[in-house]
Amino acid sequence: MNALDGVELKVLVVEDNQHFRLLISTVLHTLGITQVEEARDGLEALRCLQTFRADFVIADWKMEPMDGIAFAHKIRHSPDSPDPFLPIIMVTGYSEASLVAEARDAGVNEFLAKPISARSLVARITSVIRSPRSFARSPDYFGPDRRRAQQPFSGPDRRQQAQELIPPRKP
Amino acid sequence: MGGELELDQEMVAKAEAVIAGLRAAYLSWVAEDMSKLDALLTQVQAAAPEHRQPLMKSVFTIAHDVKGQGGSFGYDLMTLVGNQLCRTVEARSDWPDQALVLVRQLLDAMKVILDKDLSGDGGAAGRSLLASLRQAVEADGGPLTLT
Repeated sequence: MNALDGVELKVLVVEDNQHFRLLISTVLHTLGITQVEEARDGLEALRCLQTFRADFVIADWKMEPMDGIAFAHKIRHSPDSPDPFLPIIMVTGYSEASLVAEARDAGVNEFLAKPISARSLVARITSVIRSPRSFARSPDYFGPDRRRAQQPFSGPDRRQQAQELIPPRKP
Repeated sequence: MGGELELDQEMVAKAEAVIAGLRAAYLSWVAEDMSKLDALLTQVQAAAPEHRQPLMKSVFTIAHDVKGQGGSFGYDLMTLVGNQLCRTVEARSDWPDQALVLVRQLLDAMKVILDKDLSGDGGAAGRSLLASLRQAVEADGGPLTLT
């Protein structure tokens, strides 16, 4: 079964390297995703999203003048955000654990280290489309629920008391 | 991050095929990057040591892109050596002539990988190349990422 069957998806690719933009866009077209827009950094991406209602974004980290983390913050928190629930797949050549944590805390849905493989890219796209995550809102975080699975726990659920869970949205 | 969903294998195969189909384009892009690195290194060598750091930041930017692409197109050694070049450049802010020797060796190694089309692990030639680079990195005393 094709994970994308019957779903007309719109994707925004945000990346300052033109060759990598070409790579991602070409793969997306091959997967049947033909409504693809491109932007060279976070600022350009925000402008694009004013008129292009993307179903998800594939964004690089290091870009100027606005990098992927700042872009994710704007999407999640800005009163002018075109869509605070927009799924974001961050793709980057930086894969240190501290940076992955920073991306997660910025509200990124999925993280993908370069160099990418076809399998890893398809896996991340499949994840945001077929298994969209609930969103969590707490005093210091808004974004995809950072817990991957709901595990039983016998102690007090301090997270439940402090945060709101918002059910996932289907594309 | 990254879940454990069942993947559509046909989609994966299509994506793999299209990436493989871009290999020739990649070789053209990376050749351009090698030319840029060559030109930058020439400028660095011509500059006074106290003026080299901004140029080395540009070297890092290109090496970072090379590192991030090679493995996608089957040139794992480009990713490995590109990463070593990134870590080597990142580790210093001063660039006496001696420090540029390793940078030049790493750049030359990437050219060899492309000239000899050392895809994957590069076989015996690749292993020999990495072994000599490891010795050079260790002699330089900087961070070693080549494994």
